[in-house]
Amino acid sequence: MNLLTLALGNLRRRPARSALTVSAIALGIAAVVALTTIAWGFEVSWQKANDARGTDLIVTRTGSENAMPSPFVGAAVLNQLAHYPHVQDVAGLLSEMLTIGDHSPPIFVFGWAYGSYLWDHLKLLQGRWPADRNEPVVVLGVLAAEMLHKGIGERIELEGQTLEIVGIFQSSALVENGAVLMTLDRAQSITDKPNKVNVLNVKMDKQASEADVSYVKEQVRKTLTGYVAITSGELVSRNAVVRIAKAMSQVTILIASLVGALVVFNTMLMSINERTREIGVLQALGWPRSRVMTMIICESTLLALVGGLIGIAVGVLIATGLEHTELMRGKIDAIYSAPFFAAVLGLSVLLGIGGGLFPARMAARLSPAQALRHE
Amino acid sequence: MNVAATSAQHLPVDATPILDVRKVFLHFDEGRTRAVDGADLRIAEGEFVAIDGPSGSGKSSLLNLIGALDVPTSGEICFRGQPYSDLADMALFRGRHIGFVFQTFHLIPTLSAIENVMIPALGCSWSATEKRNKAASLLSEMGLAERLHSFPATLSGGERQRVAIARALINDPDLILADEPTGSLDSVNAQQVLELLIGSREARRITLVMVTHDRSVSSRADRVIHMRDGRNELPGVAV
Repeated sequence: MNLLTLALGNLRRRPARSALTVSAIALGIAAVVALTTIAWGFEVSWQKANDARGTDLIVTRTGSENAMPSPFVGAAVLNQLAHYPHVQDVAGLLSEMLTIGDHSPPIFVFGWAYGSYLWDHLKLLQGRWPADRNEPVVVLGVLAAEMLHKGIGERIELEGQTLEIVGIFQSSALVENGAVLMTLDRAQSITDKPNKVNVLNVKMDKQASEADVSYVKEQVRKTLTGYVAITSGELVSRNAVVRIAKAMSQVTILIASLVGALVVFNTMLMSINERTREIGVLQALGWPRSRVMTMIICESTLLALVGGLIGIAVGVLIATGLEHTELMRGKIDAIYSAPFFAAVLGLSVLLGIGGGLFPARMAARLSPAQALRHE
Repeated sequence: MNVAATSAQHLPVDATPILDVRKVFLHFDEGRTRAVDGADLRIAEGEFVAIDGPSGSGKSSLLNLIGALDVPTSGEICFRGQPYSDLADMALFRGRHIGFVFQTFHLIPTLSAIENVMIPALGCSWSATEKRNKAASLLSEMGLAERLHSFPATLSGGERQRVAIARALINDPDLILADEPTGSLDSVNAQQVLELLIGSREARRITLVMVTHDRSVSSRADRVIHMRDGRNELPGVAV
């Protein structure tokens, strides 16, 4: 017998109350896990997509990098960028989220400069790539083909234009696997944005150092008024959707923490009130205040820890379920990391200690004689 | 009458009493309730003292003060000459020197008999096996060798009180304070519990202070202290 087994026994006295407390904590932790893994997943998915393309810098309109990049005419900027030292390639990119047919969920549609380095990392599984910059065809990511139930030779309708599927590809980035891809010129045509791009992707040559990348960023700031060059990581982290998702996750963490701590606090307060006389007996038998406190905090921490473990499991289930919903499929790759789960468990333990601290202090400060007289 | 001086006639001339209660008061509600109102007594090592008196006379409050469960409003209580007010850690003192037996047993319902007995020894330096062996031995001494793993709910009143006595003895106390230990028991169990308490006290040369209403119990004591209105009426009647 030790303090832990004693604490477990005390929690088993009121199984329904303990179960409800664990459930409340588990729900809060599940919300934290689901939202955070999805928010991070969203960020990491886009980061992966940019990294997979081998892009070193992204040029977009100043201010636009904070939200979804707004389209601009890229030709003049592209020509200037191409002359900076160590710049190997500059490729325009247009992206939209469009609905294909009446019943399909929105899907990413990318238009990439024909013949640019952007296509190099993709692996063609079936069919062929577009033959020229204007050919009215698309290639589908492997996941997009599965979601749309389409194959080579079939047609899809986008913004009133019918396009033939000529290839199926695979990428190391989930976002690209779930996308419809065509040439930039074709994308500009069907979205009615002639000559426009959302961003210009800059690839530096192999000799380029960090200093060379910084030099290009600085040159863009100085010479291309109204434009900014940032890394793909910076673009993603400044993205409005990513920031909103992260803010929501942080607010959820805060609310879940407060609710969790209050639930533990309330449970422990009730438990101590019921056991006042028993605590007096323990003190009479020679238990120091510190041991009484430790026992109560052990109880509250156990509640929170079990709630945390169940919450993590439920949160992973929710995030996995969301990933596979029609709306989210191919857009978000939820991130499950051991350090994150350890941090969530740490948060649970803190909730337990925080929620149990005041009741434990109350119990420890009871006068043994008063506690023994308690009805 | 000087109560302390009269009580001292039970002690050898130069002996230090185990307990010396000097003009102790315990008031509540800013003095409106006087639970103990000038108690004054000395108890010798190994003595069996019964405290009796009508309800509300301050017997249990005095026992709480002697047991360092309450702090007197004024006055001093000394244990082997050391004032309680000088003790740095009252809980530690209780754990080392005092064993309590309550009228309503106060066992922890989620723990087995042997675990209940081990509770006061939880923080001490013995190994888990030593604690368990000692608790088992005490329970055997109380006639409960077959009930080591029974939970309080499955024990009779008499058995519960015997577990409580074993619990009071686990830390080898110098003093046992029993607050009406037979008050909740039938006469057969009451007699059995009383014999166990007296037998344990004699075997271990422990001082026993017992609050009781029962004259058949107080008649077994070395001395009876009568309480009335928060003070001891007589210094103690040697029986």
